[in-house]
Amino acid sequence: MLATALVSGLSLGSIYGLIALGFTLTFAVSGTVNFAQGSSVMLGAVICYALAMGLHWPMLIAVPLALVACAIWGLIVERIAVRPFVARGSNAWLMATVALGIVLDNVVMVVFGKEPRALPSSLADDPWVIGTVGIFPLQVLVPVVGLGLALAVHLGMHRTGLGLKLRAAVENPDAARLMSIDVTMLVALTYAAAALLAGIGGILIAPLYNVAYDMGTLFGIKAFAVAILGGLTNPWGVVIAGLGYGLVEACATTWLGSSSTQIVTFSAVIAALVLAPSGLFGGRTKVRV
Amino acid sequence: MPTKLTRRQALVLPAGIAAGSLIGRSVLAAEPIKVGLVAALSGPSAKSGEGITRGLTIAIDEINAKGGLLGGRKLELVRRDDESNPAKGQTAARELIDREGAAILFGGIDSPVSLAIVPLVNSAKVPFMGVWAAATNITRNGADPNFVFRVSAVDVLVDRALMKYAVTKFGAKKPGLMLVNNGWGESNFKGLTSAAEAAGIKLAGAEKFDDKDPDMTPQLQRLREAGADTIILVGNAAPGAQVIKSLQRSAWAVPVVSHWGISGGRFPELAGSWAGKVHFIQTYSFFGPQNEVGKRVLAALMAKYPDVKGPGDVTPPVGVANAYDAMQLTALAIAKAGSTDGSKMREGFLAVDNYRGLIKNYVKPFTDENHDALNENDYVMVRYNGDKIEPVTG
Amino acid sequence: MRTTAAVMVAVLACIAAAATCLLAPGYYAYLLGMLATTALAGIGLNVLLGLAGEVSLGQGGFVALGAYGVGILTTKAGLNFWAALPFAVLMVAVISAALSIPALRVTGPYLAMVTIAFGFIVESVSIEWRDLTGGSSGLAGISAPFGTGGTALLACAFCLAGLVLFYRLARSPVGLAMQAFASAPAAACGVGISPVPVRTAAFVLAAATAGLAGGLQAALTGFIAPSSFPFSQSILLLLVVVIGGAGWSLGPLIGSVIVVLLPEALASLAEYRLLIFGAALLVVLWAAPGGIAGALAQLLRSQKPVADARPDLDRALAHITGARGSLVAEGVRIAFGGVVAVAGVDMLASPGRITSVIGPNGAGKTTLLNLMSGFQRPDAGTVRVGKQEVTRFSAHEMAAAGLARTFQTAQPFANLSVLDNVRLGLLRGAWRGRADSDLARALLALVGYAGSDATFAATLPHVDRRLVEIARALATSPAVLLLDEPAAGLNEADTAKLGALLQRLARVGLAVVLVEHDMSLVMSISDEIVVLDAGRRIAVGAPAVVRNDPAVKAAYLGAAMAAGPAVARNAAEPLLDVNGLGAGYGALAVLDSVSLKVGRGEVIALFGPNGAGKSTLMKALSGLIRPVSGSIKLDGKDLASLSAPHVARSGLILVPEGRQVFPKLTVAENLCLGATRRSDFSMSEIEGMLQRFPRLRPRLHTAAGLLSGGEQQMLAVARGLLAKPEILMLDEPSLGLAPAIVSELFEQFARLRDEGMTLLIVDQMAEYALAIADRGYVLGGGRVVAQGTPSDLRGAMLDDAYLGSAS
Repeated sequence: MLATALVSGLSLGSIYGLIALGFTLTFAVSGTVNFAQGSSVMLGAVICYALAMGLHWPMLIAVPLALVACAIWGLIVERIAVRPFVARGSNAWLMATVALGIVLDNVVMVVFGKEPRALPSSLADDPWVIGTVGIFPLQVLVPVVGLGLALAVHLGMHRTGLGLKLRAAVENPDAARLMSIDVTMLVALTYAAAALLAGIGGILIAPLYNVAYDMGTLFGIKAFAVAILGGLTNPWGVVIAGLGYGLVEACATTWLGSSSTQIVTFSAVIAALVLAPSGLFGGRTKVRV
Repeated sequence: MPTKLTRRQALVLPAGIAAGSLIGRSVLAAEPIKVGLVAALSGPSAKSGEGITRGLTIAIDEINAKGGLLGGRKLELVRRDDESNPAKGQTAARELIDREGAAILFGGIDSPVSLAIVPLVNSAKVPFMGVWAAATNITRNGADPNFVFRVSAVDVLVDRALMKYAVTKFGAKKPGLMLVNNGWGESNFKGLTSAAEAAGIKLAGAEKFDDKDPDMTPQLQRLREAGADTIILVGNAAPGAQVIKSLQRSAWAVPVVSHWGISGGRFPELAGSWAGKVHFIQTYSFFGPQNEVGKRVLAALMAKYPDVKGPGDVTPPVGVANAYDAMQLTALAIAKAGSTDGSKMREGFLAVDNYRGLIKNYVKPFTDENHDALNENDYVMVRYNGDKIEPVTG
Repeated sequence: MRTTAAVMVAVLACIAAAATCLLAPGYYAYLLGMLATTALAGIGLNVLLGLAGEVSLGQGGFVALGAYGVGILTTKAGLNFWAALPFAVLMVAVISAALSIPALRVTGPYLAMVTIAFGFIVESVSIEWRDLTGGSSGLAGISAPFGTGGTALLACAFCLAGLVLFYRLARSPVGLAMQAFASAPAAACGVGISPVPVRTAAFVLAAATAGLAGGLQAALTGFIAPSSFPFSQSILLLLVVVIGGAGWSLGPLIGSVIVVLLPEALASLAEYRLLIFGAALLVVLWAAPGGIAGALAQLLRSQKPVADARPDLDRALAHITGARGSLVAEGVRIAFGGVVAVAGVDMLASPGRITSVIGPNGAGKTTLLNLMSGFQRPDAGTVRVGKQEVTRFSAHEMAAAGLARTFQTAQPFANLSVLDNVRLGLLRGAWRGRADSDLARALLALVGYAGSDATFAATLPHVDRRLVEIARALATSPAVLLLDEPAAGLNEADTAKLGALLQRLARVGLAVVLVEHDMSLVMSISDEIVVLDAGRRIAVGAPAVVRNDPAVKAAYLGAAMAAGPAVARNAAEPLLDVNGLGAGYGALAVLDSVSLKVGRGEVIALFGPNGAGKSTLMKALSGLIRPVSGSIKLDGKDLASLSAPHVARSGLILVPEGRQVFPKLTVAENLCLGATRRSDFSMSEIEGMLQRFPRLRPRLHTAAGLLSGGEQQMLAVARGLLAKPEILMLDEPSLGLAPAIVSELFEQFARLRDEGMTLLIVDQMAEYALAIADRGYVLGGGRVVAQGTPSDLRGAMLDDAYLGSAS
């Protein structure tokens, strides 16, 4: 049972971590997040489905195009649901992103339909079996891609010029602007990257799950819980929190029974925030006078 | 000051509502006869609402083509979405009764919604026809007079049939239950537990899953460790498919017997290559040799809905078939009653003698004791072959 | 007249509602009941969102709790509805109070997460606790006190009561405190509002009202199941409040009319319901942040005439002479991560006297003020007000101890009226009691506020914000009044009035503590001056004594520099041409038509006292402040409308005040970032910088935050140079540095000058800057008051500008 729980927990957990990574990117640079990140998850999966199953385009084309669409969506979110409110000094971006997510979900519902569809993949059809534990190749790929992307984000932040600019903008946006770094554009870029990560999560999960207009909501909420637990500003903390959340979820189902899963995980979120109000791996708390 | 702001609304709305309600009541007697439907038209169970709509529409078209009822009054279908939310369902039911003046209400897939509507229709004396939701206490609700009728399965009976099938077909000695985490799953938990007791076998366990759970392996693993030799599945198409995918992933080739929920969506597409392993229950199959009514209904569906190209496209068949027969029975009841008055219609239902229908040949379908037109002899076990539903043979 | 009309409308609405319930007890009554319960839950959320400014995405959970409370108590415990409802509401209140312990430790997105999690837990428990809740099948047969019509009428009655209570709450001490805390938390603590009870009250009230709505809804429907309370309900409730108008009494009612009735009216568009709601929410957030109620209120707003009654100034004076006591600080010290900001300072502010704290930028004045007013806790030392030791007091306890303060940036409670701002001061954080409006008006008159007292503080001009803030501080009836740069941004006439006011306050017995940059004000009204430099007290005494203290002069002007004077050069073509530049921060205008020219290869020094606008000018030039009026031309190209990155890209590079290195990045990374604007940067250029600033060489791969102040300044200059600037602007490069380091820096600047670099230097150490400058400008009150060669500028005029004139 342990092995099954590990397999389920780690593969789902890395998806949560991947989506949550997007929260940390935008939060670090702008102090805002897309509360409807789950909609970006859904968008990636739905567009990939529409291109691959609807138009019968090869996956090699469908996946990149879906991801481009996600990135554009990220830019749209930043432009219409975040920037106007931040410029006004208002925190209504929280509700605005929720609203925009509702709009996207429902537009997709009208266009794509209400019914869940399947995005078949040869990677999720023929499991590898050891004893009573089976695993789809895709489930192995998911954590690999998840950790790989986390590593890529890390390297991108620490080994590239763009990453250097981003880190500078995180530490001191005004000084970064004086270095002719366009912080506004960087914020938009992080939104695009966040949506991109969510889209990758959506495409990875689609063959294991279903494609539906409302598939993202729960992923988005869990990923946000993960981001909060991980400390919002700490990318590796978020990845670890994602794996941890997935494992707790799977273990709760395995040993305590499925009925307790949500009670256990969400109570754990509240408890964790009592013990560490800025997340388990969140470093600084800003005290403003 | 904000106190002045809603002057117009404050004046117009309640006044309008009050006036509107009076008018609404006075036009009750005019044509046509309105048939209300409160079902899930959005959300994950939307497909069920669509199936019921199609079954009702085909029957209504037939009846109207023959000149309608009560001397030429046409039937008109009025649909409302309950969003699978009991409170919304009750709002919709009240609106259909009070504002639209519906003569009868049809219910949808969600038992809690139907349960919320039942006391309402009994006190408003408007007949309610269940065509999908199978919770036992929808029809056996203790009201007298009871205005609730049903042309659908009753969970206790279905559960008995499922358990019997698992034992005889697969030699099950220790079945494990996989139940959706809602009222329907709960109703079947009770039914299946007592069915197992009646059959003299023990259950390996009962696990629940949510509609949105992406991975059911932990639940299945618990059942596997507990020694389950058969899985009895109760859930709708999308989560049901997740159960099958999780089975496939663990390479656990255990027989699966399922309630009919999985026929309410694109189960074969969602479940992938293992979809055909599931044996499930239906009230009717459009495959194989059809009776006269079956041929007629299928032809009508293909003519009316371009996406129906053959029997495999009639999804979910249970919704279409139950709704069709229920509507025809309702027409007979109205004809017997000679009126759209609720109490008279209730008497009319009880007075229906004989109807050669799609699912079966109904003889005295409703009595004082039994408001369920179908019983355990009316179920067939089927499975998917590709995306077609076909009877299990042998 | 308007009030009569409003009452009539309300009465008619009630009659219509009652008629609907009694005459049409079916669908319409039920719908009205749903509308009323939704509005009621919205009224609760409005307390949290509209008054306390917090977002909850879990209100649906509280509605469900209330509904289950009534459902379980009536069906399982056999209570009747009237007994069950209060029990259920009480239960919700207790649970929400328990939840508020974790919930209110966090805010913003964290709080949203806690409430979401709570909602899901309620849902799961209601499914799993089958014996009690009936599980997913729900609870049927919940007893209602009346039929549908009667129950709906009851819900309407509760809703009406809710509206009235909300209206009163919003104007009550607690409600005002909630709004104050939402708008300016620090200032709210400053008037004695204790944050935890106020926020808890908002949270529990919101939850209990939601629970009440849930209980009524259970009675209305007679049946509840977990699916009756989906997650989307919490979002819809948010929608109800935001679309209707958060903070407005009628907002939730308007919102629920839209959210509940619109889908019924447009049943055929049911599919698009959420799409329409989502889009509507976005549009409202964009275009009408006050929601429909707020937008309508703006249309209908009538400007009330200012009350004619003469305020009773004697009463105001009597109010502030109640308390007496001096403020004593002994050896207070605080360090932030190794940097000692205040190093054991003693000071005494006696009743009846004005004690001023002055010192160069970064001397620790505001930190000292924070230590004495409870906003920061000292590492060592004691603070007393009168006889009471207040060292460990938190900010809100200070008000009770008799200490009031104002803030560097005025912090009135922007979402409240001027009158309510002052009334909150009178209440000093009390939850009950009457705040006397006449006394509040008298206090406003005393400080010289002449506008309408019904105006929202958010819309006040800068000077009035200051006055309201002072009136609010006085309203707490303090013994000690601390003012942090009250004259910043005031013109001469207003400053003079302020000086007179402070003297008057001192005369009636207040101990007035003034931190201020305006030296003429300080010199003319102070009884005693404490001079800080680098966290230490370097002088104390009467104005005349302090003015002539050599240590003070050195701290302000720096010692004369050894480096030789500039070689006289011909002014080349103007590279930077600034004309009529005006800029400021929001309501605060700082620069007023500044013009200056910088020729290619010139070194220009900018002088002026603190608060004269030097740093603002640097920020305006570099694009950090936008928009500005006037023109900024670099080599003929207008930069006035460009943002900071684009200004920097044009080659006008600022080395900002306080160094502003990127602390977690290495020195090398900081240097690379300097070259962002260039495409031809090569790493070998870093070597050139290391030769120029050899101290940086051993630290190349160290995080910049670990460098000493001098090293950081060198890094900041090197970083600026790597941009190959057309003009390098240096803002206070000597700030907080040891003299030896300052000399080393200015030698480098002299070398840069000799290499032909164009420099624009702002520095308090006037002597250093004069030593290398070709020309200079003196700013005062946001204008250029003098310009010329170093010899023109050197002398008494400069002294005056910095230390004020005694006359």
